[in-house]
Amino acid sequence: MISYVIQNAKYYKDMDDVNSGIQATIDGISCSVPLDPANTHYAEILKQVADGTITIADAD
Amino acid sequence: MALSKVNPNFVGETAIGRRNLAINGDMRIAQRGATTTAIGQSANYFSLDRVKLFNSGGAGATYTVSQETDAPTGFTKSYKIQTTTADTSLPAASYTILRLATTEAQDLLRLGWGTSSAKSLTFSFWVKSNKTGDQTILAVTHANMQQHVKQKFTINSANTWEKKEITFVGNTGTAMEDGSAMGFGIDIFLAAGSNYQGGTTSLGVWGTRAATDKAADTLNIANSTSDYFQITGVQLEVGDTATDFEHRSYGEELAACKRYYQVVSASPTFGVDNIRARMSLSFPVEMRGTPSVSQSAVVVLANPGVGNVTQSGVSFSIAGTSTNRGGTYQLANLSGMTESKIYHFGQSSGAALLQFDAEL
Repeated sequence: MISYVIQNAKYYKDMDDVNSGIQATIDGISCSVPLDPANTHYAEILKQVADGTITIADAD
Repeated sequence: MALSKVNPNFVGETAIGRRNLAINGDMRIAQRGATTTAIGQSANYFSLDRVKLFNSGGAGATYTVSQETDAPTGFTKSYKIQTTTADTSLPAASYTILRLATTEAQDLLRLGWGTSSAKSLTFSFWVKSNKTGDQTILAVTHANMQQHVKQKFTINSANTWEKKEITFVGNTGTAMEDGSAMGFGIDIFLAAGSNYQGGTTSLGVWGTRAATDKAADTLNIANSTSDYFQITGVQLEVGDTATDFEHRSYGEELAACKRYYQVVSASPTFGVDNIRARMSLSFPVEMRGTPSVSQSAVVVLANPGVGNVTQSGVSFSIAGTSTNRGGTYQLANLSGMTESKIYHFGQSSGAALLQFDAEL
């Protein structure tokens, strides 16, 4: 029932072209979120994706 | 030596220290700044460390959170939430929650929850509000447990500091799993729609978090722009007795807070190309997990030899490697950088901060 407002989620790649994180606006703040399930923001992004609330755009 | 031989003068709070499981209970640490205004629908830590505010579930009130010097005797700071836009007809799903004393599961395993000898927790605090009456307060387990136990406290006099002490019985039914995930927190529903006010769960009985009576009693501070709620002296301790507040040094509390959130205000960076700069950082305190990163304002990178470079907009991200100990990070939205040149972040960047968040 409690959630962050997450917008504009998009993967970004590291220098080896591997997805290394998600850039997203979380509660109005632009954040770089690591792909670590222990990270609260990443866990919430995964939850909202599973719920169909948001999608994560592919990296450029 | 017999206990009777111990000089009572040495059996003070120092001798029985490390009782307080809550961090920043005296509200002195505010790494995010002393005041945050216009807090609408959100769920975050505003201004003061280790106090999370949820304002969610649909249109509701708007708040300001601030660190105040108004505090009861023995304290110098308090946390204040002030209603700035009221909502006298809250949507059913709307709620405003203060979440306090959030604790990692691994720090609570000694309670022996899930066994017949499960230990109680006692939560004490000083509170002040213009509102009087009963207020529900919940001890909530997270991670694998997902339960809560309800109690209530009463504010007897308006605009007066009062101390409250509440004991939550141990949970004999479910064991907490080890780990750094959030294991426990105290929730106070300061305002809530009807979805949270219809249940009949008894006080002091552990039950599912899905219960609808989380706010059976609420001060409802969303009702007027005169409404506020202030708190300090937050202490969570093992057992069924509230003891005097355990004062720890500012440095200790700050270091403890940095496990969950920290900022960097200065660092050397180097030009990757003409639009990006990178830096490698080692956190002074190992964080709870790999942090999310953000920046508070655009930065100016300084190099007296080739000139300063100003960001056109905030852009701070993880550059490949980041752990709870540090990593390599990148500033972008730059122009005119010289590759491989060293630039100073912090020398000319005003109040811009790089923010690292591994909060519960």
